[in-house]
Amino acid sequence: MSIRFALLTVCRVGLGGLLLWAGFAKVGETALFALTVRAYDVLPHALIHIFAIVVPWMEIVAGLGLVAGFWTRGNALAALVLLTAFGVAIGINLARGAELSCGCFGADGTAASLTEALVRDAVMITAALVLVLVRRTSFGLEGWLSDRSGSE
Amino acid sequence: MDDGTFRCKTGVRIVLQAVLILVLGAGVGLAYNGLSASGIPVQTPEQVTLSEYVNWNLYIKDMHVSLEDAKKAFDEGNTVFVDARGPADYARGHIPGALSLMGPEVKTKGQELLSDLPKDARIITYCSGGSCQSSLHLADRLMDQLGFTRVGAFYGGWQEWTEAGHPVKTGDQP
Repeated sequence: MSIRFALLTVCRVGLGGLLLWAGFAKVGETALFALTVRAYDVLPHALIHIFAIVVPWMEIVAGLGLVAGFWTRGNALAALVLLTAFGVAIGINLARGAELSCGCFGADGTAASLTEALVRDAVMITAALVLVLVRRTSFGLEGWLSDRSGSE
Repeated sequence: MDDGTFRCKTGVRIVLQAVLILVLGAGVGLAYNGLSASGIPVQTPEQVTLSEYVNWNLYIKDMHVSLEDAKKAFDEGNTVFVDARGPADYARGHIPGALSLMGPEVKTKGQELLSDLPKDARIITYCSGGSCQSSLHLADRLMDQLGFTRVGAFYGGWQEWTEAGHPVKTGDQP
């Protein structure tokens, strides 16, 4: 119980925290993020700005849910969808041999190579998958609420 | 209810939750974009302006210096400012202490002017501002040709500096 609990909590809070960081880093600089999305050159032209507008907040909402432990599996699935999309975009550009900065945590120049970004993405996908698949994760806000209501 | 139905129901619930979370995120994103000063048009413009592109490049290369960064560096006095405009503009007014050096002179005049400076000294280049590119060219050359490692470009340049009412100095001396 305790090791499983600790591992799941690390996955949940770690993944949530990274998503929050990534989301907030991009929120104030939408125009820059839009240029990063454009540089990835994988989305249809019309979707570039919409993507840049909504994705950082999707990361933040899912990140908040994970950190709080509310709707953990649903939030992990949402994160999984986002991370898979990022992975595909990074993978395509790696295959093209494009020299891009990840831009995942804002356009701050600290992001290393796309290969590193893909590895980080894979680790986060693994954490998200674990959280989606584990049947009962009675911890965080969700566990507390269900304990109190006496259901489940 | 048997275990199969339970799992199926749980699966549907999780998918619905995920959809709701993404929709909520999108909603907040659109609202924030509409209200925030840094919002962008929902419709993607055909072309990126050169100015936007250069600015973005500076960010991803970690070379972007904002007006606040520049003023802070100026106040702390630990940074060498280099003015990339021509000598005439420089004489009419420059950031106090800034050296005058144009991109093409890096190998000649630049080598001499910056010979005492350690390679990891903080350097900030600037030009007239608006959409001038010479600060960026100069910064690139200082790194490529002279081997400096901590060079940034103050893209807002002379225009932002003077509009903010920060100190200026006239004449051909730093």
